[in-house]
Amino acid sequence: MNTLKPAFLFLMSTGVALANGWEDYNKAFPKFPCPDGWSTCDVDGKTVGPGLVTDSEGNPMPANMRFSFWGFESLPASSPFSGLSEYNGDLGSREIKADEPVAQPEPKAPRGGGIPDLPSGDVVASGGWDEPEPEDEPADVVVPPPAYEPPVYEDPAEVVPAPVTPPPPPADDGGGYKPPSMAELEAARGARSEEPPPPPPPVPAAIPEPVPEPEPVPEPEPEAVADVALPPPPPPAIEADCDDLRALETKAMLGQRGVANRKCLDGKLAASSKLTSKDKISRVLLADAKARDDKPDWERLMKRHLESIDRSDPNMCLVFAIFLHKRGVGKATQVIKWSDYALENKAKWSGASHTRNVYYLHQLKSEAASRLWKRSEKRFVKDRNEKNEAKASKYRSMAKQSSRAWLDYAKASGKDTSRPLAACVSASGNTEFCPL
Amino acid sequence: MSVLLISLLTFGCATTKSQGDGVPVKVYVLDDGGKPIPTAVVRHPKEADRHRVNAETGHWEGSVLYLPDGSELIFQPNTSIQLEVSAPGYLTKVIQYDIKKRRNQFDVKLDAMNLQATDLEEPIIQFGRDKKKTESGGGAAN
Repeated sequence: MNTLKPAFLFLMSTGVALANGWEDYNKAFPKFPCPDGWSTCDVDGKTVGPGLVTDSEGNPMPANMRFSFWGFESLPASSPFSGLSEYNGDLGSREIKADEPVAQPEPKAPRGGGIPDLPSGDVVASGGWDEPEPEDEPADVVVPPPAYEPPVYEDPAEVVPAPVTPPPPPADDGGGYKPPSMAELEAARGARSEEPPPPPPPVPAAIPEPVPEPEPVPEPEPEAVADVALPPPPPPAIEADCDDLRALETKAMLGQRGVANRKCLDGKLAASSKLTSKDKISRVLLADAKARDDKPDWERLMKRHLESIDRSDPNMCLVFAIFLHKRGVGKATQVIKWSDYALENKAKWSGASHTRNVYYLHQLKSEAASRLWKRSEKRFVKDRNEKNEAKASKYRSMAKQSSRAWLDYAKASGKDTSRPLAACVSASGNTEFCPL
Repeated sequence: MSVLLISLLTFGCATTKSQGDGVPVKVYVLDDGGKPIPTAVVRHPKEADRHRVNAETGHWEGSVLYLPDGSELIFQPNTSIQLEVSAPGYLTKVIQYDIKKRRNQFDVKLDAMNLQATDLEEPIIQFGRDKKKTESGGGAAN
């Protein structure tokens, strides 16, 4: 008995504590169950209100549920697109507001080609249109916010669609869409209540400017044609002549390309963004200059090629170094520079050409350094100062090293060693430095 | 007085001809045309330094050389010396000279070195061609 009492008291207290209030059933009785936001509506002859609806099996459901919890069958609120039902009651002095066209804001020009136009008869809430979208943003489909008051049509056949103005071209001032001001909206409302709505005023920006008609060309008289001598034909377009590089190579090898063609190729080279294209064009120009024996032009083209296009071709570096070497001691530093670049890519040669060309490059370097040394020694003899002495010492060291490298390569490759040995001994002044 | 005079004469004779002095040797370095080469240098094979010739006359003169080990090489008559004569742009010559008692003066003519690489065979510059993509190689390394 002692144990039953507490148990009884416990059950009584917990039963009271677990009891729910009416506010816990709010979800079962929604205030606005209609899909259009109203509290009561007729759907397929059934009145939907805040009370419960029943499915086919008689199970009560909240009125705003779209599908039955048990059988998943559709309930009256299943369609989210149903419009307002017609009100048949007594309106008194009130009247149903007709769906009238309102002074529309300027519709945005369709962007992207596939953007659907806004329904012309709908009143677009201004909340979503406050800020005009910049023109340069990506074309997004502008979906108007769900209208709170969908249009009510008495008869779809009687509804006259509002005139659709063509999308205006972008305004000249670059402003884009500008929402109407409140004063304009109120003025439009007042005018609508007094008289039938006028057609939307034409947007000035939408009116295409009249295209000026071409001036009538006076027809030439047949007699004048016979008397007047025909003008000389225009010169052929130079752009058309330098498109096919393959076809130009033969002419370039013969040096038969004219000035116009060369200018055309120069223009193409300057306009081209790919280095491979520049390389091809530059080689054609070089071949042409070589065939014409135009040494200044060839030197200019070669220098441009190596300095701004490509210097990975050891053949070009070697040819340019040989050319500069023939120009004398004034180009000796350039000879050494381009010989070094060619030696960096000597792996592109193979076999006998590799041996021969590398030997040439060492020879060019050695002889160019010897020239520089000779010149600096002469300067030092004429003007004995520390600067000239340092230069003479520097170039002698350079000649010594390069001639020794030439000698070593000549020995290793089985080439003639007499000249590299002489250069080595001359620069070092010591036969022991240059062993055979 | 007479003793003092004799002693002075004796010392004076001794200083004029000491045992360590060598015989002066004079080398003129000339080119093919017989003109002096102002940039020429003369050097003994065992010597570290090079001796520049006179820029006007193209000659170098010496009677003793100082070797890197600190020893002296004195030019003595009836001995032979070896000299390397060189100049930038000229072929170096190594000469052997027998020193005489007097008039040790001689010319060395250097041959100009050919610094004109005119016999170089220029490679042919190819036209630009697109290379075919190799289908055998490539791909990520495993």
